[in-house]
Amino acid sequence: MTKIGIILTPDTRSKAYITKIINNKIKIDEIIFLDDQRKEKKFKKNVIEESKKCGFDISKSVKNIINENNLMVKKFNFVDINNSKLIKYIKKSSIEFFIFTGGGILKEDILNCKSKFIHFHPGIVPKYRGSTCFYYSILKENNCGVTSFLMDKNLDTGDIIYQKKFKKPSHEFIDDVYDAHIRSETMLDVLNKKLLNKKKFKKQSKEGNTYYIIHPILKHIAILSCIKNLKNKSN
Amino acid sequence: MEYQYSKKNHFKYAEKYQMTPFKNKEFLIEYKKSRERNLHEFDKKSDEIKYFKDIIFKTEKEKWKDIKNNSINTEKLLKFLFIEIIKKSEKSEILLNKIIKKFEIKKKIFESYDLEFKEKSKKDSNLKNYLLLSIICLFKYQKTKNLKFLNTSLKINDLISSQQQKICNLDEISLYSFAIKKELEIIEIIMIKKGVSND
Repeated sequence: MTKIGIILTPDTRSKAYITKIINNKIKIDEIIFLDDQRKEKKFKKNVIEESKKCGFDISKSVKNIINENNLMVKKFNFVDINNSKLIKYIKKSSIEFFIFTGGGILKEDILNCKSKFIHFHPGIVPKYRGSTCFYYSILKENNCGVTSFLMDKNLDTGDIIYQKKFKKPSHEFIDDVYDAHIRSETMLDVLNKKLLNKKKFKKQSKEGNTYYIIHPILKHIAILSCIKNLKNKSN
Repeated sequence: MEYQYSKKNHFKYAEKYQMTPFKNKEFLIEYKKSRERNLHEFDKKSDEIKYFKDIIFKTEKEKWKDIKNNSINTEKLLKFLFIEIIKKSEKSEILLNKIIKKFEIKKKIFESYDLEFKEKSKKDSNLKNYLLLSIICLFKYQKTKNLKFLNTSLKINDLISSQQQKICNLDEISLYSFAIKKELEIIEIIMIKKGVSND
């Protein structure tokens, strides 16, 4: 059996990933928690309600989820995936694939470990690489997508494991709820379909588009286009 | 509510645009008002805003790359890209993507780079460079409908708007006026297309 681990960080995505793993009774061989003890963001009631509709509770910290479910975790007091202490630990690990919930680029040292790292990127690559792709995709395609790939030294260029498309959301909490929701749903598909056991991954085309963090004007147009029907109904 | 993204001095406090809050439709109305106010200020500064064609004819192609000194002159490069885009040439896509990447990461355009696009000069306040890149991106968006270009132009226009008291010469005023009018026109079209128009 392929051994699978997950690296959690104290953020919304990790809350969605670990909650859905627990609720779907998925076996994970190792959990690493990178916790810099940061002060967690507080969310309003309507955001919390929307997150619950999406299968996780945004108001619960990763630490609380771990404690409430008595999960065995290896903790580190930093969040940097390229930290030498983490690399030293992973080098000794027998885990074949680590799901990494955080962002950023993996440096050479960690990429040289035996373990491979899986990222769930909120965009269908190679067309949508880079930052805040869900907004660009809503504006352009009227939907969103997630790509699961093996992380490599470049940004969003790794071999593709799986891609899934999603309807655009009908609420405005895209950064906090929708992003974590679509990534974690794609993770469930990858794990439930045992796609990592098959080890059949698809090379990406070098062509493609890298997007940068979205400007608030385009972001507003994207969100308003998602909630306009709700507004019309309520008027 | 105010459109705050062109208020602070972007050269002193770079705007990263991370996790910007959603403020409903009023935000788009305030954005439009803010841009129109800026245009009005320039109308007062000069009643001789030039037609775009009169500015571009003055822009001559110059040698922007100096291999011997491992140097790229940014203003000359942008003028070259500007002419290429007017000619509807697709040859310069890689160069344009490189300069966009530099701006998106540093939120600044430096006056010179080495041939690998590493900053060679610390000077970053030549507004002409920002104006040229913004207009290049707007034209590129109109041609390709790739939102990446419009996104960069919106950020540059915020930055230039935050410096509008420094825009004095007629060419720069005219380029700014053209860039903002073009941006507003494009945004209006997208809003109508996405069914979120203010009208």
